[in-house]
Parts: sequence; structure tokens; C-alpha cells
Amino acid sequence: MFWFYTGTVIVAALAIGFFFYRRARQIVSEEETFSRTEASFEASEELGTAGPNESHGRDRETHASAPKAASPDEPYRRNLRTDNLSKEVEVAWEAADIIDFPAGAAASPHEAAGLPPTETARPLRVKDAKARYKESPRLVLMARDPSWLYAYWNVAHEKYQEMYKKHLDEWGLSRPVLRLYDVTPGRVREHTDIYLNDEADNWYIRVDRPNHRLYAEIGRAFPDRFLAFARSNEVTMPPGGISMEIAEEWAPLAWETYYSKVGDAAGVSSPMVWGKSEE
Amino acid sequence: MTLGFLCLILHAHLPFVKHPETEDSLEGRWLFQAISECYLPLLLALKRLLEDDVPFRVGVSLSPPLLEMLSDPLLKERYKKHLRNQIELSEREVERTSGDPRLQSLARMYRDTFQDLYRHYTETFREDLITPWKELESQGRVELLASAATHGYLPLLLHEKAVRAQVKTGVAAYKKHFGHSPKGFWLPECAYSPEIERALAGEGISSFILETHGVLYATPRPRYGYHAPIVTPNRLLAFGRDPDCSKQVWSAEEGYPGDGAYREFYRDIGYELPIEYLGNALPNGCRVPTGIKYHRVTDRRSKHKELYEPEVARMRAREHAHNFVFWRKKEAEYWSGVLGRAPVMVAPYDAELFGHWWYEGPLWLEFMFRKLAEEPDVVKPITPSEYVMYYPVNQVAQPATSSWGYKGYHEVWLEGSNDWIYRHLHGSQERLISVSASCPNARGLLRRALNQAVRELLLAQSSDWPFIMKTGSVPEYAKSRFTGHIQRLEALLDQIEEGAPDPVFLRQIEESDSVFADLDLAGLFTAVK
Repeated sequence: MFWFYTGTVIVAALAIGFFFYRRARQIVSEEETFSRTEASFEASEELGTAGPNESHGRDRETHASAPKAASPDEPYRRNLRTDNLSKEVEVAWEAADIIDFPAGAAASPHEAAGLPPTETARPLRVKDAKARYKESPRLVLMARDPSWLYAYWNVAHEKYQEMYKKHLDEWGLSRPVLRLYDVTPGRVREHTDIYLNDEADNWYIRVDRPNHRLYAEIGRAFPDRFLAFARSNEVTMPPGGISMEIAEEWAPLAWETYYSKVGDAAGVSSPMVWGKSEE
Repeated sequence: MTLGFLCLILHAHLPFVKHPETEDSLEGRWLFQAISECYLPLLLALKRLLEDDVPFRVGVSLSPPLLEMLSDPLLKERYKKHLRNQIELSEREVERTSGDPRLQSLARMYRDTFQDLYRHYTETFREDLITPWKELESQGRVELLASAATHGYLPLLLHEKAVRAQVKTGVAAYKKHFGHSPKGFWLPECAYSPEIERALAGEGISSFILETHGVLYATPRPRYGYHAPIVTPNRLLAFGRDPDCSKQVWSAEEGYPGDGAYREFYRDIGYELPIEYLGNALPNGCRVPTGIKYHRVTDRRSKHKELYEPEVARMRAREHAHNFVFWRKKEAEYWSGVLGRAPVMVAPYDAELFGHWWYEGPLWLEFMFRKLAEEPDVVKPITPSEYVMYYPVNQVAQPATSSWGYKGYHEVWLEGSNDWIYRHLHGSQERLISVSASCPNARGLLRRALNQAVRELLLAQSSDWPFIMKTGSVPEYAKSRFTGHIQRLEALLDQIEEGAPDPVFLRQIEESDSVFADLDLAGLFTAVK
């Protein structure tokens, strides 16, 4: 009987020891994965984009913002899918999908005020809301000012997987790219490639092309070709200065003495901003 | 001879904030503070001008969420309660300051002001702050401008249907509250891009206001700069803001409100006295301004603040009003000579500047119009739609994309702190458009759910949320409001797709997000284009 008890205790101790050993190993390997991802991320930034200061004299004047999650509160998800995909693909997909609302985002003003939700009504079913729009692939361009464009995108998982399987052998040579087309009427159509990283789902692009008409495609650049996932809307960049076009019957007067100086004064507005500057 | 025109515009707006279950909150007080400090004082100042037969003209835009809140019975009740609390606090202040005659005279001033406000609100205006504006309009003194449904930042809404929904709902709310169609339209944040204009033209709008370079950078180059409106390709009149008018009033550096004699905004007893003493003057013990402020700006660069002297401040407001009129005359004289046409000086301001941020603002406005009336033919006050009576022919040009925000474009509403909202907004918007299209003849519960879904979208579109995220005043509130509305919208769309809206859930959000409760909004998206 003694041996039976002793044996059980030893087996149990071994089992527990093994469990913790495994867990420790797992954590280490996960951390390794994550730091590797970050490293490749920095490298790709260096390779792919020109900062505002480096861009002088270059044909491609793009400047990429630091990639970040859509919501400032949301950390990148660490637990990756178990699908049979390479880490890189998974990271990209997860990045495109992380736009969950910040945990604890109040569904009702109750919660915002720190009060318990009312009991009469069913809870707000927020968890049930599938936010289906996240599934639809899209690339949207927004012209922020005469110099800067903002782009955000969702890439459909299936499309990504499909492309990955199809181009398995050269996948390692490919890079995620935002291809920006200039389709200003009366100009030769041209494009610029902005090299992204797999984590990004939005990007600020310095274009400095007032009045130009642009659209973009997002996809991957392989050594010999570019494959697109999604195409954006077309945008027109705002004019950044006084028009050179002059209507004869309304020929301008007194511009040199006064109006040409005025443009710089733009943008003194709301009281909250005013109040802020007082602080 | 008229040398120039002054077109003063006041834009009043607050985001729709109504939390039936939360008796009192910081955000809930925005409306009450604005009523007490801006809307009532402005109305009273304009009424005094009317009584004295001063020929003033003002363009006024009261945003639809504001109109909805001003006419909401629950919020009206709460406002009266808030005022009673303020009166009670000011009475205690008169007692507390009995040892200091200078302080006590200020405490008395607040007590009398609050009591007057209560009397005016309940007796003079009978708890209705919309009709007085209507009356001022029918007396030919005010032109009421329409605005977008929830102050949506139109150039960033992406879908034309979404822009149309904002404009159409805004116009419908205007008709509901004022009983006629609007002529002028206030673009939220003066934000413009050529794409949004068709929505305005479709609603019979005839004019709108832009930031200076919206007109100055127009194509072709406008002959009269911003001193005359241009006619847009859709035949709307676009006025450009006069930069001198805005600088003198707005600028924190050189503007009037920073003068040492004026009341200091940041020194409020709500931040300074013990919480136990303030009691229900604060919402849930959270420190907010109470409206009782004893100090003046003194020196903007110093923390040392002297006591406020109302009579000195009043005289300073008068001086500044005269200074403003002096410069308008100079500007009119100079430009009418150069241009060969009387220039229009368009001066749009946030109404909340007058009284809330700049306590003496309503007084300044009153003095300004009185001074202007002394020489009625030099600078004539007009409203936007009156301009064409003087100059019916104007240059056709395409205005430039612009806004009156920092740097003049969209950056305030599209930058690191708030860019994440757009993928949700656009995504949900697109989904609402497609779900609505699939049930064009929805009736009963389904129609109510669709209506509420549109309301949730409109509320999520409000430019206030990204603005607050950027300026950092109450970013958590803005985030929770934005995500809350998107989540409700998504939940409703799921339920509509399943064909089974949850009546309890629906009733709950219909009650709290009750903006435009009596408008049938579902048609905005169900209608096949």
C-alpha cells in the first residue's frame, strides 16, 4: 500500500513538473515569435519607405506613418491562428482583423457612467453584433490636405489564403504594396509603389500633388508582377494655393498687394481650440 | 453711400447628449452651460437691440442636435433643476463671502444673474428657446441657416448617400422646427469638398460659408478675393470668411477675449472649493465649472489673477466693439476703392464663444451693432441671402476643398488619435445602405428598427467625436459614444437581417438616442437612387 501511495505521488509530481516545463517553453517560444515579427517589421520599414527628409529629390515622395493598430487601445493579438499558414500570412491577417472595439467600450451610457445596465432590457447584444463590414475587402483613400493622403484597408482572409497557396514558392520574395495611380486628366498615367509591412492596415502617404486625381490598389509585389487584392475609390487632392487660371471677364485686381499673403492665416477656429491655447 | 457689408454669422452647436438614466453628468451639462452663458444672454442682447430699433442683422445656425435638445422635455426639466441648483449655490456663496465685500458683490452678481436667467427661461421665453429665434427672423433681423443632421464632417463621409442623409435630415429638422425651407446652409466646420455640393443643391439651398481659402483658392481665381461670394458650378453662393474679422475676435494672442479685464475662464469655484461644500453643484462629485468665476484674465502669461470687475470689463467690451467697427470701416473704405464694389466682410463665429469662453461676448455684440448703427450707410449689416439684392451678378468659380479647422483642411478630424473611426463608420454605412435597399417596404417593427439604425449612424457621424478625441478634453466619452452608436447600429442590422428586431432593445435605444424621433429616416437609404 505504501508503495502504491508513493508511486502515485511521484507520478503526479512528475506530471506537474512536466506541465510547467512545457508551459515555460511555450511562453519562451511565443516571445521569440513576437520579437521576430517586430524585427522584420522594422527592417521592412527601412527598406520600403522614404521618410520626409530622405525623400528630397526622389521620384517617389512617400512617407509612411508608423504602423499601428486601428484603435489606440488595442494591442496586437498574440495568439495566432492554428491554420496551416506561414506565420507571415497569419500575422498579416490578424493585423487586418484586429480592429475590434476597445475592450470595455461602453455599449450604453450606463456603462460609460460606471452604472450597472438596466435590468428591464435585454443586454445590448453588442457581443452578438458581427460587425460584418469587417469581412468585406476594401481599400479607402482619403485626401487629408494638399500634401497628405490617408489609406486604410481590410483584406479578405480567403483571398489572402488563396493567393498564398497559389504563390507558395515565391511568397518569401513578395512584399505587401500599396500602388498609387495618378490619373489626373490631361496627364500621363503613372504609378508609385509604397512598400508596407504585414502588420499595417492603414498608412499616411505624403503625395504633395495638389489638384491631382488619384486612386490605389493594395496587393503584393512579386519579383516580376504585382497582384492586387482591392482597389480604392478615386480622390482629388485639394488645391494648395491660388489658382493660376484666370477668367478674362473677371480679371483679378489688387491681388499682389493683399490677397496673395492671406492664405497662410488659415485655420483659427473652434472655441475649444481657442480655450486650449489659453492653457 | 454703402461702402461695405458686414455679414455676421453665429453657429450654435452641441453634440446630442441625452442619458435618461444618468441624472447629472459632465457631458450633460454642456447644454445647460451653453443655455445659461450663451443662448439666453445672446437672445436677451438681440432683444434689447430690437427694442431700441437698432438695425442689426445676424445669420444664425442652430444645429439640428441642438434644436432637438432645446425642445426635449426631459432636458428642459433638467435644465430648470440645474438652474435652481446654481441659484442655491450662489446664495450660499453670498453667505460664504460675507467677510469680503468685493468678493461678495461678485457673488451677488451671480445670484442675481442666475435668478434673472430662471425668470427669463420660464416666464419670458416659456421654456422655449426656438420660437424667439423664429420671431427675430420674421422681424427681418435674423436669417436662420440650416445645418447637417448631426454636424457630420461631410467631406470625410465617403458615400454620397451618407452626405445626402446628413443634409436631408438637417433640412427636414429645420423645417420641423422653423416651419419653412432654409436658404442658407452652415457646413459643419466649414468643411467643403466639391463632391458634397450636389447634396446641397438637391435640397434647394442657395448659399453657404467657407473658410477664407475655400474661396480664395477657387478656380478660376476670384476677382474680388473673399470680398464677394462666388457662384459654384451648382449655382450656389459660396461666401469666404474674412480673416481680419476672425483674427480680431478669435486669436488667443491678439484677439479681444484675451484682454486682462475680461473674466478668466479657468478660475471657477467648481475646481477650487471643497467638494462637500459644492454638493449637488457638481455632478456625482466630479469637478466641473459651476459658472461662478471671481477672477479676471489679468495677465495671460501669469497664474496670478486679480478679482473680476464687471464695470471695467463692460467698458472694455464697448471699447473693443468700437475698435472692431473702426477696422471694418477702414476695410470697407479701402476695398470699395480698390475693387469698385462694396466688399462683404463675412464674420462667422461659434456662438459658444460668446458668453461661454468669452463672458463679455454678448455685450460686445450688442455694443458693436449699436456703434454700427451710428453710421448706418458706411458698413451695413446684412445676412447671406440679402447680398444678392445688392449684387445679383457674381463670378462663377469652383471653390477649393477646405475647412476652418487647424491648418485649413481635414487634419483635425483625420489624424493619429481619430483616424481609426473611419473604417467603422464607412463600413457600417455601407452595410446600412445595402440592408436598407433589401427592405424598401419595411413596415411596423422592422421600419422602426431601420429608422433607429439610421439615427445611430447619424449620431456616429457627428464630427464632435473625432474632434474631442483630438483635442483630448473627454476622449473616453467620445470613444464610447462613437463605438456605442456603431455597435447599436450593427446589432440592429443583424436583427433586421434576421427579420426579428428585439422590441425591448429597440425601445431602450429609441428612448435614449431619440434625436429626430418624429422623422421617418428609413427612406433616406431605402429609396433606390
